[in-house]
Amino acid sequence: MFDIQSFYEAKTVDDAIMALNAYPNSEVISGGTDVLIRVREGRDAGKSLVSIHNIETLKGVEMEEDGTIVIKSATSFSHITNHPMIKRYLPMLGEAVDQVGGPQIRNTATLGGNICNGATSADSASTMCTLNAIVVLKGPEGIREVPVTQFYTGPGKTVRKQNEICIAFKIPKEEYENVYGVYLKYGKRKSMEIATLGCAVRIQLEEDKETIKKARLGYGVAAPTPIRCYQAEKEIEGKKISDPALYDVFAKSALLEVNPRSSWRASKEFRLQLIEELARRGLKKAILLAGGDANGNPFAPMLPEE
Amino acid sequence: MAVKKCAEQLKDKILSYASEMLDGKSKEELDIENNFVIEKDTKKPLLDMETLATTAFYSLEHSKHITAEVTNQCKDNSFSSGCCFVEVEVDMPLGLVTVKNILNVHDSGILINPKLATAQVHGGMSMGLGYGLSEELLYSENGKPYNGNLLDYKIPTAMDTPDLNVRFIQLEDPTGPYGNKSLGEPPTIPVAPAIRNAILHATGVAMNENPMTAQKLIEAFKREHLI
Repeated sequence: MFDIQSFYEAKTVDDAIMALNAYPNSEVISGGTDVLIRVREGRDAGKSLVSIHNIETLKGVEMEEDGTIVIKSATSFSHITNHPMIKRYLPMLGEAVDQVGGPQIRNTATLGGNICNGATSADSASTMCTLNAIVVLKGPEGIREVPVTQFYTGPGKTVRKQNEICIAFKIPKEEYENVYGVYLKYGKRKSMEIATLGCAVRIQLEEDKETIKKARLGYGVAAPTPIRCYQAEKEIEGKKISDPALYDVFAKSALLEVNPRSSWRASKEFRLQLIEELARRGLKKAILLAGGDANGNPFAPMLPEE
Repeated sequence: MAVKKCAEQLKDKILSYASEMLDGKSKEELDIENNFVIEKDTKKPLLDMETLATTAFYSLEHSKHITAEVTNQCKDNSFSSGCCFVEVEVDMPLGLVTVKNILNVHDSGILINPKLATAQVHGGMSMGLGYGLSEELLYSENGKPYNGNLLDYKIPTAMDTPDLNVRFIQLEDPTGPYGNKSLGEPPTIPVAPAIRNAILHATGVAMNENPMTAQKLIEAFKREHLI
């Protein structure tokens, strides 16, 4: 049995906020794929749960007039992956969340939960950071917006207050229009896995498809929180994709901006190797997706002689 | 062999009791088929097993328990043999090993149930893959397990497992009860060593530690200046 004080199924967002506010020892639950594990392990013993699982206004993907894409926080991963708007404008995010755990988890876990749980290993987090996504929070004092890159304060910790609910994420048009990218999830097995390292790279090329106009690099599990590597991004913006030093510069710069730790799961040296290698592969893939020519890149496979 | 001997003993006792119930029939004239005691030559059913068992149990004249117990001490069984062929692809900068093709071949004598035998080999191959590539129980300095759960103890999933190919060579073994040999443990045995040798063949690096995880492979590749 779950050791919880009570369970309340909120009918609206404001109803949920009132419940959270009234019970300081309560927390939000939607899909429950993180919360219920904590509860089962006894780490949330005695807490009350306020469920936003059935609030329809918290589900779906929309576009505002200025092209901003709005993803409601309680939208499940499988619904995000398969949404026509995501497939068209944000396939990288759809593919990233499609790599979470397994099909059952993806059918109920939500983007809001993934980000608000605050884990550095969240599969959506590094991608959301490279999209400069905005977290929309609502609480008793009203609505506020926080850039996702400023949302995390430490492992498992965010600036969201106990009585606030994340209601949506906004992605500005300039972050997705003509920008292409990939999320590389590195794990010790191919399914039912939490990332050992996650690398998100986004690239926009100039019209000539030869010069990098915009670069974005994000990591999960390379630091206590999901991070962006702003320096590595600046290093390659303006460079030609045929520049022989491109990948070295990008990857080596990233190494200076990360802060992975050694643990029984993976040593620091192992993580650094992954960080460097995945930066290269992510950049190559993103350039290809953006329409760049991959000829002459250092990672073309050596084919056996026919 | 113990099962065979015990079954033969039990059959003999059943037929002795049947012979008592069937006046004029000696047990040499009888056999058992489809839960019936039958006349051996004509196959004519004479007595169903349920009646025989109930009679032996409840008879007012001659109630008798029908059981058999056998110890078989084997001193001359043959070795079962087998081997594993494996083809791997090693992504060296990331330490990732993909098993592209795997085949186990076993000689366990004559197979009694080929589908069950194949399933047994699938199980052993699956365990061998985990043993060689990902499964390890990690402990802290004072003996507390770090990964005592199904997330952190890395059993391969279906997505990690290649098609498992199995072949048998069936040579009748005279020491087995039906020409068969063992198949319980052999399937697990050659898999991890085959993967280890394939990694050696692919990269030139000899791993002598199990499991051959990405971290350990990367450490070895760096030591050898391969990455």
